[in-house]
Amino acid sequence: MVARSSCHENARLVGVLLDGQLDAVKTLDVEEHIGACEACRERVELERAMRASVRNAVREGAASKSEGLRARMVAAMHAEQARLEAIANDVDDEEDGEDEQAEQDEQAVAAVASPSAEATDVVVLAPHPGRAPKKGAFSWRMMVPLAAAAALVFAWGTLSQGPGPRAVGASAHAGFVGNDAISDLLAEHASPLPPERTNAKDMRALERYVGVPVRAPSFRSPQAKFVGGRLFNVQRTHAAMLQYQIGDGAQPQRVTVFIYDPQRVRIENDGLSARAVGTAEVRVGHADGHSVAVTQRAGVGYAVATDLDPEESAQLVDFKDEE
Amino acid sequence: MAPFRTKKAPMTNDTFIEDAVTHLDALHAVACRLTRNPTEAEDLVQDTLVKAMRAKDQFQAGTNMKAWLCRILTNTFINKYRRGGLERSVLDGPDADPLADGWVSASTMRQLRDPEQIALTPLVAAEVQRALDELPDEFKLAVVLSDVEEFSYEEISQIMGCPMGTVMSRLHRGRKLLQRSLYNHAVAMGIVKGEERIEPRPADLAEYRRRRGVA
Repeated sequence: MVARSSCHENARLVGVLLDGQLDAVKTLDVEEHIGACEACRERVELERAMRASVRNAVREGAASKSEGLRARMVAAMHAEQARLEAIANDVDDEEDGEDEQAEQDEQAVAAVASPSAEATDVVVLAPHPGRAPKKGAFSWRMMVPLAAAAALVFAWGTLSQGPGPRAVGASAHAGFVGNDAISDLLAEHASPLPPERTNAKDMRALERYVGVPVRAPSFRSPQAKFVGGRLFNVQRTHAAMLQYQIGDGAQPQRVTVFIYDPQRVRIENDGLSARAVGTAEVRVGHADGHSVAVTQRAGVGYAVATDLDPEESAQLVDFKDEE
Repeated sequence: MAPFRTKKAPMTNDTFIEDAVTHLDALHAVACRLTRNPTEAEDLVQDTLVKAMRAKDQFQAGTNMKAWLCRILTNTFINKYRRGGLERSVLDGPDADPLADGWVSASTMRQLRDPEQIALTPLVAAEVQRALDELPDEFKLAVVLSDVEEFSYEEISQIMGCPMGTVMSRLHRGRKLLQRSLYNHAVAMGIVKGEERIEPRPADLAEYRRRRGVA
């Protein structure tokens, strides 16, 4: 007879075993136990049956998909893409008008060259080999469904803005699932886009997109090197993203500073807790090994994302005053 | 490791859209169980895909797109449809006790399943769906991601934004609650004989909540 305590330990491991996530040594232990214990053998079978039933039930429950769901989804994604490109073109136009003009000419040529029948395929995703998707992608025949889909998407976007600031509460330790802006900033910090400008002085050129003064801040300590920066989209508006590096050596710390207009980028309190650093009020939080510290100075929003602990991030956001 | 992701041959939009819609069934299945409402489920999927399009540059080609999409779906669901932190307070209570293991005998466990089919055939899919729907979202999501979409613990921890240990305990406790709920149903339907032993544990989730004072 096998000791009951052993069954108890095994009950938990059985689930892990069936999920295929148990390491080899423990697998042998559990299998040995199962071989000797009828109750645990039954437990394995029951757990296995449960998984099969859950799978069947969920698949069955999802079977009643509406007709044309796929088509609707594809159309919605195309519409979103068109919207994003329109925004991107606005920005590019101002930055480098000439190149853009050349590109547009090229596109126009491509659009003329491609038979319009090819471009009507919004719904069924037919690949257009060798042709970049945006070239010739807008024939009149597809503008109507696109516009409809775009309107729909826009309406959703408006609705999904969320109910404004929520109280700091039970969710504090559950990451930033309830805080879109912070999730976006941390995601960007975790896998940043390559910088567009590498001179700290050039960051000022971003002011007209961000809507507030963009000055590369200097940290009090430790010394950080400015690596580069770029424009970053968050909550349908622009923020400046500045990348710094602390220390050289084998493992430099990356620090990302976001500068934004706090009137336009709303950072909710979900998952953040307040601190006083120097004379500034700072909100800090952490998720997935990254931490973030948020503050405002003279009407400008600053968020610092690092891989350090939240207290260290909070110290960093207390920037040196400008000389 | 290079400090920045290099912008090597970005996915074309068509490829991205094409790849994303191959996961439509998985997203839809998860969305259906989360929202319990077909219309909301489809809206949730669409919302997810539109957000994915917006964040396309953050997706690293070659990594698991299904997991990435599921993460967006989960966050979107929590932001949009969840009515507050109620369930979380149930989960994270100081003594969120593990439900007893080995609460039924081997013969009852045998009765609960159909030995031929490797499924709980006496209990129809609708009953399993109901039991699943009664689970708190965190448990339900963990179970669906694991059992239906067959994600690894690590992927689930990324999708749900919580440590692996939390994933494992949510799965374990979610399945225990599910088993208990199905067992109670089976007893009520006379599919299995109730056991003699009186359980000191709460009999179902509603009572569990009540006992924890969160009802």
